Amino acid sequence: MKRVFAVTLGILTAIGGFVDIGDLVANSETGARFGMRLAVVVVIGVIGICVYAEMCGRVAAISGRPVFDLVRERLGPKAALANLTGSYLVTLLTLAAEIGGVALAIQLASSVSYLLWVPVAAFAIWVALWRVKFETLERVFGLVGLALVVFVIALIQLQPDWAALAGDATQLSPPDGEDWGTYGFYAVSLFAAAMTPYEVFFFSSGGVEEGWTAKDLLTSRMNVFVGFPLGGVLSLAIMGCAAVVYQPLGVQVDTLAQTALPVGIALGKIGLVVVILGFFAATFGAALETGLSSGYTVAQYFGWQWGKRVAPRQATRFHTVVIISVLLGVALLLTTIDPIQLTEYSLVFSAVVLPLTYLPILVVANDRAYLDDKVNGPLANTLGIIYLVIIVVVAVAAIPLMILTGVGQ
Amino acid sequence: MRASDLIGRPARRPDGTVFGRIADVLADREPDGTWTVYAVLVSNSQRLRLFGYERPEITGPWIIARLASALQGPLDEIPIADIGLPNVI
Amino acid sequence: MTDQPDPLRIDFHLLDRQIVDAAGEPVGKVDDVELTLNPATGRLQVTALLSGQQVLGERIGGRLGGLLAGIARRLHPVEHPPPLRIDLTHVASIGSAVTLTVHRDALPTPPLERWLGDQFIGKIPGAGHAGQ
Repeated sequence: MKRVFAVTLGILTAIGGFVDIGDLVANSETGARFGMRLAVVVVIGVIGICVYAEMCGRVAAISGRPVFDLVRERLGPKAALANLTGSYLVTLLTLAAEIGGVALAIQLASSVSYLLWVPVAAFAIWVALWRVKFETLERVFGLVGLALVVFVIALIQLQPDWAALAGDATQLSPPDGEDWGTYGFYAVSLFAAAMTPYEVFFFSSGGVEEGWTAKDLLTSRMNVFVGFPLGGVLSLAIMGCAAVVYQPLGVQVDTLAQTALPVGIALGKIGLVVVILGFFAATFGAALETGLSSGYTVAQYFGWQWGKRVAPRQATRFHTVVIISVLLGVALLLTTIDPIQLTEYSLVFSAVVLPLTYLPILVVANDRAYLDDKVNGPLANTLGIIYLVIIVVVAVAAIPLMILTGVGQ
Repeated sequence: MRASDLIGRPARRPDGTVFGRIADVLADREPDGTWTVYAVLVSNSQRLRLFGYERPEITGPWIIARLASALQGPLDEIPIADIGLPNVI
Repeated sequence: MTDQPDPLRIDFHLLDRQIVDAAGEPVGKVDDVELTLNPATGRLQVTALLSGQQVLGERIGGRLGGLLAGIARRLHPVEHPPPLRIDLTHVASIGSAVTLTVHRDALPTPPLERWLGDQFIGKIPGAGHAGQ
């Protein structure tokens, strides 16, 4: 059982990257509109985040430095401030979306409007961030979030034509009714979501919170190579369920309820209960991840004490940033903006921040002054550079695609 | 004086002519434990601290090292005595 | 000093690095470094690390730096707050972070941290515990 707990940090981080509120609906929407033709992007994204999260975990374990320390040290204070501004905005918008997501999950279960649940959800999230130990949060939400594995079971139960699904996944072009512009936009969105910077901020800071040392390199790697592929599998299962149920009907998906429906069709009421529990845990977990990350980035830029391993009295500026971020999130949601749309807008900032975050990581991972002899080998460097190129291409393409396609319409 | 009065500023000879930009300041440890500045690194263009490839501790990845030297150009080590220090109160 | 780079590169090894105390807890960033002209030898010495948002703003300079320094001054409960100055004799080693020989309790608490602790965070129940 201890072994299972050892990888919950990776699972929780992956939840924020692959099955947070934005991804839950986006994966379903992608399946409904493109079948499995964007599945390969999820796979590419999983490999990319694995490569870089492994480097971050290694740096955190051996030198004790979380990613944002590296960003400021290597880029200098001005470029790092640009990164901080972008990263903080992405994280804040996502945090708002996740609080909305928790409220939406409760609405699914209770039929009471999500807006009424927003303050309740925000308060619960804040209490968890204030009082509950990091390890406990990680274990509870990492494991309960795995309830989303019900999508895998539902997909099997729906008895799809597996050969057709696989064939579709190898077709790297938009299906009839869609054009290359929207195809490209969704590809960019899925990839940017898989490699969102707050995942590495959270993962490396989590490693420092857990007190990783050089002896924990194996733990760090297990977290990466179990957590993110698992997130990718869940992503693909949601996509597959939507492809099987919605694509033949030509239905558009844009709500959480529609995302859940295939599970209800395949597994009935029990399936729905499990999936709502999974939604709740995944969005709550993602809210914790983004809430903490909003504090981590600011505190690590300025050098303040940060984290849950000390009492709040010892890290007042960090906790103040977290509280302000939650409050701003609530304020944003109370303007009745659609929480799911929020994550699409955060893509704009994400695109700019991606290269400024991943380039310092790649450079530091080669520096013996940080890692002694545990610097990157040729495989890590080759993959690191390939993905850096992909990241730059995505960064350059994101905003024009967003404008050209009207955010994917 | 602060390091920020030197680093990133124009490198001047004692007669006032500018010959580059100060990219870094090098110091050596004295036997009594104090650190004394003995030289500066001067570059023609802006120095990118990101890479830091002039140090022996980092060598790869090869393509990034090439990018770094292309963007940055050579760094000359100039003894501090050959640099005109700014008048800072 | 147990572990020092040779030679010491002020921009690379010191500036913008995390300062941690003897227990590994973060103290601040090296926002600037103090250099002093030794009148006896006529040589420039590295004498102290400087830390603080105002120092950082002064170093960045321009409009951005002025904004940063201005915000720091506004948020500070004290008029003209002095920067945190750590004499180089208190530095134990310079590696991926700058490690001090002392504990954070031996250093003055940053005014904003203390003010928030007294007026805001400290008043919320449970502020004294690291969580269960």
